[in-house]
Amino acid sequence: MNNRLRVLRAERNWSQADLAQRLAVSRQSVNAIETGKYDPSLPLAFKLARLFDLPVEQIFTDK
Amino acid sequence: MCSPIRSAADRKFRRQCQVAVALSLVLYMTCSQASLRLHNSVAGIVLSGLAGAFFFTEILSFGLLVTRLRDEFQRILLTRSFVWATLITMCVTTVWGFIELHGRGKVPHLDVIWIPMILICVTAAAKVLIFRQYRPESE
Repeated sequence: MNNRLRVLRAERNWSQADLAQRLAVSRQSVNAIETGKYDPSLPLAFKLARLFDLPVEQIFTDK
Repeated sequence: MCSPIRSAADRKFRRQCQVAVALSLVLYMTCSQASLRLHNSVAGIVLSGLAGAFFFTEILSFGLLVTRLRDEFQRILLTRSFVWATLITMCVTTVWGFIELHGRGKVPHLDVIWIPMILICVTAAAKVLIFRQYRPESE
């Protein structure tokens, strides 16, 4: 699965640590999602969607 | 390694689990070694039971740590470490047992009481290796 997390984060000038703090996860998790090494669960994907105020499908797309 | 963002309660719980794992491992080894010396006595049986209870505490502490961890990715990595460690320990001890059985004297006897110790050590090693694999690069 592809995602636009890095772009969305950069648009808001957030570091990975900032995003991790907002999501209450580790920076390791944010990095793994951004690099496509890990696909988040639905609750975490919705949390991201709420945080960026976007629908899930605009953050995550099928390859 | 990573620097997870955790609340004070999370940090406290994680520390308690780590202490419980370390303490129960020490108590397990103490009781199991003592039970070997008090072979064929009531005290030996009691100590064996205690050793089993401490091993159970060890697994329970680890299980609690994994299930209560809020960060799902770290939870997956910890579970993966434990699964790999269990697989490796089972394979090594089974092969060792067969070598002991068929090649008498070629390898020293591996007492069953060492298996939990091996499992914990391999879990720790697997955790380091797996977490290192997903170490975030600097921004």
